Amino acid sequence: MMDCNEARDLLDAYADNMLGLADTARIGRHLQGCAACRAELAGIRALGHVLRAQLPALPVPAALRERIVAVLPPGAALTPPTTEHVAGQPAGRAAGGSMPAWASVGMVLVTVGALALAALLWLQRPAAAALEPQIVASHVRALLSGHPIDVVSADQHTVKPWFNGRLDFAPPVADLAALGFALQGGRVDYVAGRRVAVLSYRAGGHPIDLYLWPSAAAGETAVQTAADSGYALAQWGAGGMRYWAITDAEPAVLQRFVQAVRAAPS
Amino acid sequence: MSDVERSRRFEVLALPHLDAAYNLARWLSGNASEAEDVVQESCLRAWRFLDGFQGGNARAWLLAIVRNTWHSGWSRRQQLASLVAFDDTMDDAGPLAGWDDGARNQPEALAMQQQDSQRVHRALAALAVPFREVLVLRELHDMSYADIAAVLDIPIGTVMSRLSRARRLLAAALRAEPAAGQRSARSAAGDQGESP
Repeated sequence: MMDCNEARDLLDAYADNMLGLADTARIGRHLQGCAACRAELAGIRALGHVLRAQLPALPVPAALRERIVAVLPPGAALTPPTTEHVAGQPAGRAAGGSMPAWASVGMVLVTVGALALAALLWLQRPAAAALEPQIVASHVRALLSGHPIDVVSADQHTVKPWFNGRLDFAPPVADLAALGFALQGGRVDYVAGRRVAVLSYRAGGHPIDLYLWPSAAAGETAVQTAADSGYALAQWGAGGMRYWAITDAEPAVLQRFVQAVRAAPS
Repeated sequence: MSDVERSRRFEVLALPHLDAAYNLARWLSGNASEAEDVVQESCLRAWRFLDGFQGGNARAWLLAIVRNTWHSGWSRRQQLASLVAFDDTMDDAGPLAGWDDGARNQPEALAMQQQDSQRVHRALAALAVPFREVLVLRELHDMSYADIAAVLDIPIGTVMSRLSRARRLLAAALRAEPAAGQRSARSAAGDQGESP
């Protein structure tokens, strides 16, 4: 039987889910009979929760990100490459050589000019066409990884706070169980050059991923549907957020899902 | 590797982790403009060292570069880091305060919920760098022990013990500076905290 000293050494790893099966089981047994170690564990978890809840995510300033992207040597347009974007990188081209332009000192002014141009062209490019393959790839990757959900819960009041500190926005999380779409949980993913919220639902045997992120340009836009690689997709803008839904279920199921999301109070 | 290939590789490996890189730089340096310099310098290094990336976790690879960049160029300017000599074996000096040692009047979990953002920020920022970085990587970046070990270039066992100690130090610091509403109750409990 494990004593408290041994348990204390492993409690942090237990709280972090970093122990092997055998140790996890041993700690679990010890915790059942030890209130002091349970309190210790609660303290560890509470501290982690406080850190994530109280410390805001510090996303890289857009200007810095764009400065780094804009002056990469040619070929480094954000995926998928667009001709407009590459054309907006005279600074990178001019620098040539074996180092990106930020290596040289006097590049700042040139960079600012290139940046303005790149940003302008970036805004003008057709966003939807570029995003669709990213959404499909993200969805498939998540399913393949066997780890499609980071916070497993059917409770919207558990899933929503989980995003605190992981995102720079609070995604609306709707409970659609009554409509046949059971919430499975959520995760954070990287799409469209930013961190986005992904809510996982299930309709019958089919997973449905709902991607959302704030977008000033989204406005209120009607639902557009598409099919790609056997997946049905839908996208729309509402309440300052951009939404993408993807599933391998029938397009009609996705359509009902989209209606349910749009009708849900946010 | 041509510039074009190199840039594509950089785009795939490094760009998705810029937020993480900046976040770590912010917590290491403590201010925004320095963090920007560190991230920019780190990206340059990452771009140069792309050939050295052997596969595995690209985020850990980039964060290791950020950390090394900061430690090699900026850390000397931070006084706190040099004032406190750091020693992982401090653990041997005696038993650590437990979670409930300073909070006899209420459960630790409850006390934690009353922490506000500014106080948590201050307490974490005041921790010695080795403790701060391990906490940031684990709690804010949700990294595995193996990845943290790779970023910090220390054995996994050291990650575990350092993380454990960092958590207790931070909890002690938070207890030492109680919320306004519980100040009187706490000082009555005689919590002296524990200084590193």
